[in-house]
Amino acid sequence: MTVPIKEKWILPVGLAVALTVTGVWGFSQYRMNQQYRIHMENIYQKSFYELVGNVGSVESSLDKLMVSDDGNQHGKLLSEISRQADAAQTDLGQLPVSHVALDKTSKYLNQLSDYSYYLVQKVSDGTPISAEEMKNLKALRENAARLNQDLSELNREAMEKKSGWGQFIRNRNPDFYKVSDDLYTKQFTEIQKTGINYPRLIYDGPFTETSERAGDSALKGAAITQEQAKAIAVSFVGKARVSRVKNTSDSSNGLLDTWGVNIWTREDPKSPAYVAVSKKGGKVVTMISSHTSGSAGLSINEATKRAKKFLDENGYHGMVPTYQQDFDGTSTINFAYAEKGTIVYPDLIKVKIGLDDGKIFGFEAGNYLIAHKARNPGQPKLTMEEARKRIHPNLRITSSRTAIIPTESKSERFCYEFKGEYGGNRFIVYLDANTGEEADILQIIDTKNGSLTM
Amino acid sequence: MNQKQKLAVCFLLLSIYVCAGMVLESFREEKPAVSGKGDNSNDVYLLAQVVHGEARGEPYIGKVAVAAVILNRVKSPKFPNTIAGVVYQPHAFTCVTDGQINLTPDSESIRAARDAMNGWDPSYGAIYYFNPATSTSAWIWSRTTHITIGKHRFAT
Repeated sequence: MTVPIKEKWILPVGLAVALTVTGVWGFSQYRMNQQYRIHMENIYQKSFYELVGNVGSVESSLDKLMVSDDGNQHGKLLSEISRQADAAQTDLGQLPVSHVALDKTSKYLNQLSDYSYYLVQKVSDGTPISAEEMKNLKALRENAARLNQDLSELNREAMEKKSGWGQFIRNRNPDFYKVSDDLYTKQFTEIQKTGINYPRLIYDGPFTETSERAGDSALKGAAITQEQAKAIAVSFVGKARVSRVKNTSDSSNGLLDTWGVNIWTREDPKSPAYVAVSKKGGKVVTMISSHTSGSAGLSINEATKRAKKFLDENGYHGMVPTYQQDFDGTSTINFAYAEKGTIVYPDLIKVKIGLDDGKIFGFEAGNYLIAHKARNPGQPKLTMEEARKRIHPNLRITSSRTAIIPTESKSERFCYEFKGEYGGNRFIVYLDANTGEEADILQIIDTKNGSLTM
Repeated sequence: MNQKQKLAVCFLLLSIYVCAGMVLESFREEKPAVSGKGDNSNDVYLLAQVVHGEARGEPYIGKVAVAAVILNRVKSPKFPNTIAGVVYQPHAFTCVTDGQINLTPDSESIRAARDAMNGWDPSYGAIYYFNPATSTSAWIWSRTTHITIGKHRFAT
């Protein structure tokens, strides 16, 4: 008996339809699965970055505590530590690592948070931290340093071995989970064994935050045209270097309006440098270029000298270098305005200079142009010697001077600046020049690319 | 072969095509992050990953501006206080949502991230950016534009 032709095609067509439907369904499931995976991976990554950040801050705050001699500052630092340790604990809880592996790390963070909280209460009642308590804090600091170091190591390995947190989850096998060879579990178990880290801080020199200031801009002068801006930009970069010029998008943010100019230099024929010139007064606000140079022929001293000469030529006198960092054959140098020996940190200009031939590839003076004015800080109520006596004896002072620093409330404070060293770390302590209060403590994080030039 | 059989073969081929597509797709694993040489800062690297994922093919200042927007968000009270917090905020950046953030950033992205970190901000304080050609949100159009760089409009 033969199947009628009419029915012969029903089976294959039916199967094909079923296969297609399954295929489409499977594909959409697969896409969804992938989306979830990316989402989870993102959460793990975020938690891990924040964990590293928080533990770094904990360590840095504990470091600062060691060189602070001011009850108010103690309270401030301790409450920061408590908050940061709590946050680190939360981050830890989000990572796909067994509780066993994280037991001790978690306990450490908890203890640190509780202990700091207890001390905050005590300090706010006016009782100073006792020697015994200081010893405990020192031990906790050592642990924070260890943990920080381990976390950085972990992160570095994860990046090198190309295994994300999602990979970690996928490789997770219940049987050998407890003795897992896996990088993350292993590393965290190591952390628990040793107790508990290395400095991580975005540190590009003191007070470099671009603080948006309210009120009038210090920028004065007549309005300039786009053509005038073009000429200003060309002479700023140096006529001999320029091969092509083109006007580009202008900008406005209410405080500082600029004309944008793209300049192709002989050094970088492909990628233009962007130069922004203020519409009022015709000042160069910024210059950005992606330039790199292979050879570093200039010494740091020579580079700083050339950058300073460049500033003088452009009418920025009395600028003092405060920080310098090198990358890809260029050096970025921070200059602060100095008035009669007092460093005025809010008036900051950054210069990026090629280390091969000393040409200028970057410039940033937005803050300076908005904020700059004569300060006339006057005579401080405290003498330098009186201030020095208030510094914690732990800190071995290496240099001192007066400085005006920006505060979080966007005003300014006249201070004594003491640089010093304790326990292999370097600090800058700011003491209010009139009240003697500790205004701020900075820890200097030395990276292989950056150094403080003071 | 009659018409219907031809149709069936077509269906079969289509199915095979879809299946093959899925198989191929599953081989196309996203490349995990590798540490940039000589770059010891997590933050610079994370910023560079976003710059690479969001602003590939944009002019250099467009890249610096994207990194600056992230840093401006960290400073803004409306957003989380860490770079990772801002970057991984759900649906804040397309490259994070679609996983492109895990691509290895090129050296230009790393330089752009570093310039932004060192205080260069061609977005002039912007906390949003969008592509006017593809953006459909009426809200984003109501923001004050600071500057337009390449395909992106930077705004607050």
